[in-house]
Amino acid sequence: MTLAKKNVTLQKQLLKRHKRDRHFKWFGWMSIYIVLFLFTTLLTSILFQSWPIFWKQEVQISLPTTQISSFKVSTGEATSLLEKAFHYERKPGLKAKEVVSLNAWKIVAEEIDKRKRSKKKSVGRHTMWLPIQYTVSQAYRRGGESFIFDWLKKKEDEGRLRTTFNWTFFSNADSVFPETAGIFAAFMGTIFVLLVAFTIAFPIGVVVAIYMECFMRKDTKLTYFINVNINNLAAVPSIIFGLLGMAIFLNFFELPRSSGLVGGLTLSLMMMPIVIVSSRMALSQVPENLKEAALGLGASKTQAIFHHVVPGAMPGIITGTLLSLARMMGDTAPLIMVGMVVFLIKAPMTLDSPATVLPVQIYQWFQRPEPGFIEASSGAIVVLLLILLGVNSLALLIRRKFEKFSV
Amino acid sequence: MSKSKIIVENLSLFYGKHQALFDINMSIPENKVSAFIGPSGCGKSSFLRCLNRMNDLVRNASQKGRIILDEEDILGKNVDVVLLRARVGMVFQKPNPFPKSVYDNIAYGPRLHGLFFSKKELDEIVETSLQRAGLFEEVKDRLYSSALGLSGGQQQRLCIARAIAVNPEVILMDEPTSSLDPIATARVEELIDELKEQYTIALVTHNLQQAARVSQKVSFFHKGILVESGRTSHMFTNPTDKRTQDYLTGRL
Ligand SMILES: Nc1ncnc2c1ncn2[C@@H]1O[C@H](COP(=O)(O)OP(=O)(O)O)[C@@H](O)[C@H]1O
Ligand SMILES: [Mg+2]
Repeated sequence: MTLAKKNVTLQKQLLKRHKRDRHFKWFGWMSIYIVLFLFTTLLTSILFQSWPIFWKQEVQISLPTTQISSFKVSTGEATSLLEKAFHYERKPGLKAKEVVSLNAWKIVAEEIDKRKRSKKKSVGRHTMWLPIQYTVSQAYRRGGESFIFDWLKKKEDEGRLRTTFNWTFFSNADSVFPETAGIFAAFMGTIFVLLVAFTIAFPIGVVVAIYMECFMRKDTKLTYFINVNINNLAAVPSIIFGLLGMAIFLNFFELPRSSGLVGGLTLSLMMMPIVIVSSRMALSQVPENLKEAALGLGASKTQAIFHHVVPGAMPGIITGTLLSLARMMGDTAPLIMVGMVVFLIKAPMTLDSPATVLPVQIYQWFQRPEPGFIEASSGAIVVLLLILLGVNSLALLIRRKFEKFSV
Repeated sequence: MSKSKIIVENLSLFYGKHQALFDINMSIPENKVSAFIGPSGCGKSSFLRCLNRMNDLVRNASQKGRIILDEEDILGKNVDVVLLRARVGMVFQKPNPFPKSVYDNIAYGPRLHGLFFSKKELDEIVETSLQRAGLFEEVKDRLYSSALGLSGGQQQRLCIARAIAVNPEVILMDEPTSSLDPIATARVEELIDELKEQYTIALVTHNLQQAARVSQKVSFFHKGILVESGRTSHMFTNPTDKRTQDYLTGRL
């Protein structure tokens, strides 16, 4: 082949290669755009859907002065006080139960109790902000003809109608009314469940990982068998762990059904293989020469491992554990199996009391026919996603911070 | 030549069924640098690792024969390996500082063996070790920052200082300069030369000039066999074995 001919062939080849490069680049960008598009669509639609639940309309009501018993305010007292207040509005046909939340009496009772506990002896005439029923509020915003809307309009003109950020969505437990429903109970449940799962799965998982990776012979049939099983367990569908948890913790050990304890124990079964697999990965990536250095200085094998290999793997172990915790946080099926689908008007305060978790709360709300709960459900999704985002970025941050370590 | 620090008698090493060393007999003189040369894969590292029983860590590695360190057979059943390694230190091919501060790197050995009674004493050990390794001036302002921030040559000298800190009798070095640039190499060679005043040094190298420069005794290995061993000055000028001649002239 002459030099000229060779150059021509090379040129042709080169053109083809560049074209292939361009195609691949184009394909890569397309894929990224598609993923980004899907992801933003998901996020924006959820954000839009959840928007109303984060903003709550409240109306200011003046409560009449009355003689109230020195004990805790009863349901009857609070309700009648509320009705009386609406009676004083001099709007025929206007009833508290048609405007403000049906849970408003609770707010009234709490407020009065609070004021009674504080120095003031007389519970005089005072005003307070009460949430408007979700449907009424939405309808009023859309506009329309109704004597209730007229009254609300009048209040708005007087500056006695306001839209505030719905803090109670974060501080309240569940409720049958969307305007007073909140995620606090589910949040506490999630914390409990994760706490239990972590306390059990982390130490056991890490010890197993250290033992398997650093002390056990790797070439025996037994090790192979254990390996296959652990890897398998890490991939078992979560609902099966739910069945297992039900069989072991509810039926055999007879622990309290629906409790955070049982949920956590069930999740710990699921989390353990994941922790083991990721910890072993982290341990195996610590350079062998660190161990040799320690041994060369007269450290025993155990010392070399615990002084150098384990600390070297710690960032990886923690990252893996955080990621597995994030996965546990989003898991629903096994917790439904152990009965953590409960309606809670108070957040659980102990490990053995009935509890629910965020994803189950989302599921529960989504199933409710009353208007407002789809929005509440979406709001809970937003919160869950934000928490997951936090945990995952923390894991990433830890990994980044210790990356320079890898020799 | 001077008194022998280590005497190796009929040493054979097996990795499973594969025999890596065949019936080695040699002596390592005290306060001298003994160099081991030979083509790669000939068993130099394997031999060196027998001298502080690092091969114990290799599964199904087994030794036959005797290695006598000051009249005691270190291959014996009731030898404490931890104690042995405190007496026979090791420097590896690739610098392997711990991902800790310079200070903690040096202090690791003394802490392990409880070689000090006060913080002040430990400080002194760290300082003298670094000084003997000729590193103190370079790192005295960064004793408490990560050892991974040092250059390759500095890291290797740090590893030497770390080995010195436990005050060993013998220091084994496995191609300690193979990953260093020429200037750092020269620095380490100088250091080796100085260290032989206090320690017995066994040095594996693939660099013949290095062996000629720093060692007093050379042993040539080939395929697991100790072919020839003798005074450095003598070996390089008058090798007796054909294989040694071939290796020294670059034909093997
Ligand atoms: N851990 C080990 N397991 C099995 N065989 C090994 C091991 N280490 C070294 N060998 C074998 O022993 C022989 C000598 O190796 P080595 O001592 O590393 O040679 P050198 O250091 O002279 O290059 C080689 O054939 C090598 O394959
Ligand atoms: Mg070698």
